[in-house]
Amino acid sequence: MQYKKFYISDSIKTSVGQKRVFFIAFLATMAIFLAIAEHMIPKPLPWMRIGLANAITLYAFTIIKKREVFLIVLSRVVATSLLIGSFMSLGFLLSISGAVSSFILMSILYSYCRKVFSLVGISILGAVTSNLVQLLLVNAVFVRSSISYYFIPMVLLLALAGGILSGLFGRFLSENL
Amino acid sequence: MKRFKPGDYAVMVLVIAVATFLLYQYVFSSSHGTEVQVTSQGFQRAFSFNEDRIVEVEGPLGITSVIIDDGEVWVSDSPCREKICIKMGKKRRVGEQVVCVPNRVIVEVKGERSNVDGVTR
Repeated sequence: MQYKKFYISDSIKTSVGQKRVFFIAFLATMAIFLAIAEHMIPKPLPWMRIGLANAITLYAFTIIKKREVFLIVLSRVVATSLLIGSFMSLGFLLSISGAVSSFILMSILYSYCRKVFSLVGISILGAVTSNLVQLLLVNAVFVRSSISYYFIPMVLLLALAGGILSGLFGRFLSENL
Repeated sequence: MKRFKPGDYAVMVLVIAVATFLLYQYVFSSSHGTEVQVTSQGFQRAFSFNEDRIVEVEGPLGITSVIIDDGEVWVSDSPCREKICIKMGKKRRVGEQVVCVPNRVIVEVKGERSNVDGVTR
């Protein structure tokens, strides 16, 4: 019988495959830890975040396959929301849509534009995408006015700062881990 | 994957440029006034920006001339000593004022305020 294997390239029964699964779980745990630690830091504005968990995603791009990275992103968002207590709430829907859209853009960029962008540039673009998608969703679905367009410059600048920080952290991880 | 690559700098510059451009647009071209309210002792009237005119207002010291021209308003002549109201220049955005304290004249630009006053969460 033929199996189509989705997430794990090697069979889980071999020790190599097991190590791979454990490594993916380890990366997901690190991402969850960073996301929750960041959530604990008091911030003046709720959407003002660095996105340190994104550094793990970036680091994962450099060593494992795209679908495994997607698994890390999904489990990070779901587990973080479960631990914080916002599962299936508005913030969860926003954060999962932002995370998935920025993952799609970053994986395309990492596959095809690696000559042009380093991890920092990919991280900035991912952060900008995530923030803009969340803002446009809020505007299109929940607010239905043009007020939140006034936040676009601020959101762009915050994404730039957070993207540079998490990009540098991801590069540090990929060089030293 | 060592250092920064040219695309990184391009992205940073692009993001900053877009943010600055949008900020500039919101701050400087959003709220053009529609009328001018001139207040003096026992006198208050609003004049539209659509027609150009000279408004002469009487105060305790004498007559202050206010000129409305081409979407801008300014004080052209005043009997006061310091002439601060003349130096305040031309105004056109909502909420801007020209005030002549010695002659008790206030000129304020009115209009629909499109800026955000407050946000509740």
